[in-house]
Amino acid sequence: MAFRNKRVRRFALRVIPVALALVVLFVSLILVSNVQQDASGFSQPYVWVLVLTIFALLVLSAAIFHRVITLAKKVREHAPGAMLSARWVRYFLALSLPPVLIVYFFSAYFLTQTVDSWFDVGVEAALADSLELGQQFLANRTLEVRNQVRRLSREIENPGNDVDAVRRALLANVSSAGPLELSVMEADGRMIASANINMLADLPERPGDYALLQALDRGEYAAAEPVADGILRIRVIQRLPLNIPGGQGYLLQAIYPLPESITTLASQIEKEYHRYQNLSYLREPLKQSFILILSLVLLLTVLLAILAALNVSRKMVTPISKLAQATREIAAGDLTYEIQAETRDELGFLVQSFNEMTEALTRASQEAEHSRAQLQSQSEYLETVLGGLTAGVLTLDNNQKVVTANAAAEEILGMPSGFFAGQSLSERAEAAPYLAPLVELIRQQIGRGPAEWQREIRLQAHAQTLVLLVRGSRLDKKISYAGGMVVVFDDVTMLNQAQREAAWAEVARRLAHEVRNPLTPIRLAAERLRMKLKNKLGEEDGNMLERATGTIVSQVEALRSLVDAFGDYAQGPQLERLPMALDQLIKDVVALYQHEEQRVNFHLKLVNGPPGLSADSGQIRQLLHNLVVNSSEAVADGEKAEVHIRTRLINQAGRKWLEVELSDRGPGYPRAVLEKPFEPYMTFKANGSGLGLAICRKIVAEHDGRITIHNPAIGGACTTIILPVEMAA
Amino acid sequence: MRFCASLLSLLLIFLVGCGQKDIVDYGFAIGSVSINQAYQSLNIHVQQDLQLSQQAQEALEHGVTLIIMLELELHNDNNMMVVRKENRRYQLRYLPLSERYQLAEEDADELRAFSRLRHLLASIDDLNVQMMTGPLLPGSYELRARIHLDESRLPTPMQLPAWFSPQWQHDSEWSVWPFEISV
Repeated sequence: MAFRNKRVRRFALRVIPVALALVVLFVSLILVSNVQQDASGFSQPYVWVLVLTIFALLVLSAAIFHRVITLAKKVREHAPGAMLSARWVRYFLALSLPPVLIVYFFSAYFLTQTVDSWFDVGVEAALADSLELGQQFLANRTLEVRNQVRRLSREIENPGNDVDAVRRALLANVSSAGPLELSVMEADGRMIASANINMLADLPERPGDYALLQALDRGEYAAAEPVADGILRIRVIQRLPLNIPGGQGYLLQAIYPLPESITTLASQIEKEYHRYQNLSYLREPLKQSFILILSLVLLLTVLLAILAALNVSRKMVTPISKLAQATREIAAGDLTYEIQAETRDELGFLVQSFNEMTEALTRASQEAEHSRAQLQSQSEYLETVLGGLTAGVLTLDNNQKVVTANAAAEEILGMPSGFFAGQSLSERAEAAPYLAPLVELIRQQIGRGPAEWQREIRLQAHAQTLVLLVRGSRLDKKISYAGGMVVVFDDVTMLNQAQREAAWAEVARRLAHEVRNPLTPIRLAAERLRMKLKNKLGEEDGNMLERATGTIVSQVEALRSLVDAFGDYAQGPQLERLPMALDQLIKDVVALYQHEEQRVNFHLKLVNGPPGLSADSGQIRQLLHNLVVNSSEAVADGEKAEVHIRTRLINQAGRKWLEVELSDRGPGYPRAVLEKPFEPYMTFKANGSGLGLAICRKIVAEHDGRITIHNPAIGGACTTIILPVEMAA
Repeated sequence: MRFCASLLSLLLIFLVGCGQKDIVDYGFAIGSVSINQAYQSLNIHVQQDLQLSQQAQEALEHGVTLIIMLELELHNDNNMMVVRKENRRYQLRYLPLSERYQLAEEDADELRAFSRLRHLLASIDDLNVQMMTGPLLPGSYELRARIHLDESRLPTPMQLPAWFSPQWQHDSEWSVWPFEISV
C-alpha cells in the first residue's frame, strides 16, 4: 500500500504539474501561432491562458526551488552523486537555453512584425477618406433638408390658435421621400401637432435636450442621428416665427430618412473604420500581450528545461549515488546492503554486478568469520588446556618475547597473573632476578640450541629453592612465531626432595641396621672387660680402664642415639591423626623447658584450639621439641634463648590453615642450611645429627603441611609451619 | 527593438501601476441616493458625478466600447443579508460617421446619441432605478451603491494594462445609504 501511495504521490507531485505546464505551453503556442490569422480569436482564451501559465510558472518555480535547494544542500554535505547531479544540470541548461532564447527572440520579432503588418497607411487613409465622404454626404443632405424645413416653417403660422390647420399643413408636407415625420412642439418639447407618413407610427419622439437648446438658441438644429441597427436619419428642428411677444415660441421638427443604399454603405464604412481604429488603438497592447505570453512561455520552457535537467540528472545519478552509498555501507561492514536494479541498461548491469560482488564478499566474510571462530575456539581450547596443566608453559617468539604464559607457569615461578604477558625475557629477568637461570637457559637454546632439549635447574626464590625440570621445543617454521620456542617446565622440587629423602631414608635405614647390631656386643664387651680387669689391674691401670670402658660405653650410647634418630627418619609414616588442641600442646612443651634451668624464655601468642586441626600429637610434640632445641642450642652457653611462638589461622589456596611461627633472636640459620634447608645431615651444631630439620619437614609433610625457614631482617631464625584445618561443617 | 520597447512599456505599466496615484480630474463618485418606498418596490434616485480619464476618452474615440455599471444592493441591517441586487449597465460608443456619442442601456431598446461626451455623461448623472423588492418587513435597511467602469468588458489586450493603470481606475467604491421601512 505504501508503495502504491508513493507512486500516486509521485504522479500527483511530478507528472501532473509537468503535464499541465506542457498543456499550457501547447495552448499558448497555438494561440501565438494563430495571431497571423485572426486577432479576434486571441481574446477569449487569453485570460485563461495567462492565469494558467502564471499558475504553472508558480508551481514549477516552487518545485524547482525546492529541488535546487535540496541539491545545493546535498552538494554542501558532499552527499553521494550530488556534485555529479549539479554538473548534469549545468550541462543540460547550457545545452538547452541557447536554442530556446534564440527561438524566443526570433518569435518575438516575427510576432511584432506580423501585428505591424496588419496596419497599412494606405488602407487607413482610404478608410478615413471614405468616412469623410460619408460625412460630406450627410452634411450636404442635412443642408438640403434644412432648407426644406426653413421653407416649410414659413407656411405654418400661428400654431397655438389653430391646431387643426397646423396638423393639415403638416400632413400635406410629409412624404415617403421626406420628411417622414413632421411635428410642432412648444419650447419645452411638448407636442402640439404632428404628422407621420405611417399612420400607425408611434407618437413623435421628443428631441434631446441638447437639440432643443440649440434650436432655441440658434434658431435651428440639424444633424444626422443614429438609430437602431446603424441606421441614420436626419433630424431638423426649426424655430417658428414668434407671433406673441414675450412668448417662448414653437418649434418645427422634421425627420428625414437617408436612402437605404447610402445608409448601408455608410454603415459599412463606419463599421470598418471603427474596427480599423479599434485595432490600431489596440496595436501596442496587443503586442505587449503577445510579448507577455511569449515571455511566459519562454519562462515556462526554461523552467521545464531546468526541471527536466533535474529529473534527468537524478535519474542518471541515483543508481550511482546508491552505488556510492552502498560502497560506504559495505566499507563500514554492512555486507547485507543490497541495491535494487531499477533499469536494464548499463547502470542496471553495474548494480547487478555490484550485488554479486557483495554476495561474494558476504560469503568470503562468512567463511573468514567461521575460520576466525574456529581459531578462537581452538585458541580457547588451547588456553583451557594450558590453564589446566600443572606444568608451566611459556611460548616465545624469536625475539625472546613471551607470547603465551599459562597460569601454572606464573604460579610455579611465584609471579602475579599477567607477569609475562607481552614482555621479553630480559625485562622479566630484570624484574625478578631469581629467574635469571631460567632466562639464561632459554636464551641459550633459542636460535642455536637443539630442536628439543631438557634441563633441570634450580632457582633460589627467597628462602626456597625451586627445582625445575625444563623442556624446550623449537617452533616449526610453518606455524606462527617461527623460530620461537615452547618451554614447558615442572616444579620437581617436591619430587626431587622426595627422591632425596627416600635415598637418605634408605641410607639411614641401612646405617641403623648395620650400626645398631654391633653396638650391643661392643658395649657388653667393654663392660665385661671392665668387670674382669677392674680388680686385676693396679689403681692407675684400673682408672685408665675405667675411663676407656666408660668412653666406649658412652660413645656406644651416642651411636645408639644416632642410630635411633636414623631409625626415626627412615621409619615410614605411622600417624594417628586425632583432633587436638595445638595451643595446649605448645603450652605442655613449653612447660617442660621452663623447669630445666630456665635456659629458654618463651613468648606465646596463640589462638585457641583451633578446632578442626587433626594431627598426631606425638609427632607434633617431637616437631616442637626439635625446633625448641634448635633455638635453645643456637645461643651461647650462659645465655637464654628468647623463643617466640605465634599461631594464627590463615586462608590460602582456597582452604583454611593453621600457621605456627617459631622464631628466636639467635644467630639465625647458616647460609648452607638456608640453601638446602631440610637436607639430612646438614647441621650447624658440633654434635648434631643433621636430621632435626629433615625430621621436622618429614613430620609436617606427613601432616599435609608445609614448613619454611628464613632469617628475618631483625635477626634470629624463623620457622614457619602451616597445617591444614578442616572447615567446620 | 520593437518588442524590446513593448517589453519595457509593459514593465513601465506595472511600475506605474505599483506607483503612487497622481492627483486626478476624472473618476466616478456617487453624490447622493434617495430612496422612496413604493408598492413592493423601491424608487431609487442616484445622483452621481462621472468623468472619464483622457485615456478612456481616447479609447472611446478609437472605437473601444466602454461599459459603465451601476450596482445596487439592498442589505438587511439586522443580519446584513443581501435582500436584492440590481445592476444597470450603460454602453458608451463613439460613432465616427455622425461624430456622435451613443448611449445605450443594456437590456433596453433605447439608444441616445450626443454630440458631446459631457452631454452623454450628464444624461446619466441622475438615474432613477426601480428595484422590485416584493413586500419588505419594517425595519432598518442599507442600500449600497457603486458605479464603475467595467474593465472586464474592455478588449482583452487592454484588460491587463487597465488593471494596473490609474487612468483606468473609474470606481466610486461602495457607498452605504441606510433607511427605514415603516409599517
